[in-house]
Amino acid sequence: MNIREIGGVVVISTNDRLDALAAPELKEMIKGQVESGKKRIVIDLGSTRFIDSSGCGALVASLRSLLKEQGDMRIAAPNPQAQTLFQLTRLDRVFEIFDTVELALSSFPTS
Amino acid sequence: MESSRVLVVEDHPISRKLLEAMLSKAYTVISAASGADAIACARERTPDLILLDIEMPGMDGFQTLEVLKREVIDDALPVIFLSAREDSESRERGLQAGAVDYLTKPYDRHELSIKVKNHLALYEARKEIEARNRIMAHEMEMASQLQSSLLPHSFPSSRHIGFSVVYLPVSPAGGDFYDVVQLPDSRVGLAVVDVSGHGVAAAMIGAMFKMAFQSLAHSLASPARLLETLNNQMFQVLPDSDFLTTFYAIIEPASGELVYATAGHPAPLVYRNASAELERLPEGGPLVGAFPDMKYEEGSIRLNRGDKVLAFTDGVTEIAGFAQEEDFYGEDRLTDVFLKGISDEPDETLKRILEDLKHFRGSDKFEDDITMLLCSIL
Repeated sequence: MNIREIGGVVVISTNDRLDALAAPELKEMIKGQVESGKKRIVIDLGSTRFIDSSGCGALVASLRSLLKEQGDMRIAAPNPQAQTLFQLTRLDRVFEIFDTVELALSSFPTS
Repeated sequence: MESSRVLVVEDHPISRKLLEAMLSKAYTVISAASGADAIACARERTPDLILLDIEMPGMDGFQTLEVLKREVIDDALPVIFLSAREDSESRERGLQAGAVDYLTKPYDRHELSIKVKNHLALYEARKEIEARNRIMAHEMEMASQLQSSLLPHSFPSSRHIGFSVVYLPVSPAGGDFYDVVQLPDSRVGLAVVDVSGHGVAAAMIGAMFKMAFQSLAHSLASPARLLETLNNQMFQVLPDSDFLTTFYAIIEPASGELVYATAGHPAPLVYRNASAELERLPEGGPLVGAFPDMKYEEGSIRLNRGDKVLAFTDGVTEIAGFAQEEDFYGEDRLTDVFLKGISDEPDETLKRILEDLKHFRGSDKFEDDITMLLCSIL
């Protein structure tokens, strides 16, 4: 997983698979960001070919902990498999999803 | 900290005194001059380590060790053999008899002290691990009991409707469960639930769900309203990383009316006997317990004789194949196998699917809990 900061927003690019093996790492990474005061996060799914319910679970847990700290999360560049999963699970009503990282970044209100 | 007790078994007084002198600074030394004496001392003083001379008159070291292991000490207690003979054969025989190590006379103070120290530390670590395992096993057992108390003992009896189930948790306390409740006006409520995670926490969340669900099911005739209420209630109490998905339906057996809503859960499949085709039950909303004020849509269909509803958890469709991890069992394969076995008895229909899951997985062991609930209109 790759992590970088663009204009005060943390962008985390997930790996090839976001599944039961990768989910704990993502959760820990976001927890670490929240603890160090970084509360605006974009999850870049552009390199992720496959996501399962554990991966969705990690995204849900992360968004929930961010919202509790008055932070927010965006999801960028999901592939068709991820989009279908978000639709089936209705997570598309919960997540703010953008086609590109740039669009996700510019969706945060300027502070 | 209390010092560890080392039992020295040695028939030569001078050797015994020497060992006592070498060890008494760091340990409480208990001395025995014969095998019989050693057995009595071990009983009385419960040593943490035993140094046992092999060549003794009367009971030798091997015989003494055999009695000790059989009657007095636990298997893990370290016993180090002492011998005047430095040949590999007697060393091997000693280790085979269950000693952890072997020291030859004359004793090297340094070697003795390191071996005693290391074996005591290993024994302590082992005792610690065993104690933790006992606690974990106990907690798992409690969670497992809690888990099985979540499952219905029997299904409501009705001449219009029958239930079959396959329930395979990966650990004694899984994250899946299901419930079928008798509601007023001879209606039946059924829920299939998948709690995030497994083990103790999942069983406790399952218990919370069941209590809230059973009380709400009797007062709310709308599955969507029930999920909305349940979601807000569970949101208040669940930790950040815990949530659940569910399918909830209310069936009126006489008319076949089924009203349902899903919450982040795989859409159940409905087999229509008249057309021999499958439909899905897709209406609903997001998972329960993670976000407040979620909205759920409700669907309804009328079931007829011979129709069947198959509700399942994602443990079924997300099984990874043994050949390629990319390869997922998926809904298409599930619908195929479901249709193939549709004219069998309901239990057989489910058994056929389970066999196909095992075949696909290449194993009897799954990585996630598996639940399938089949409801047949008679």
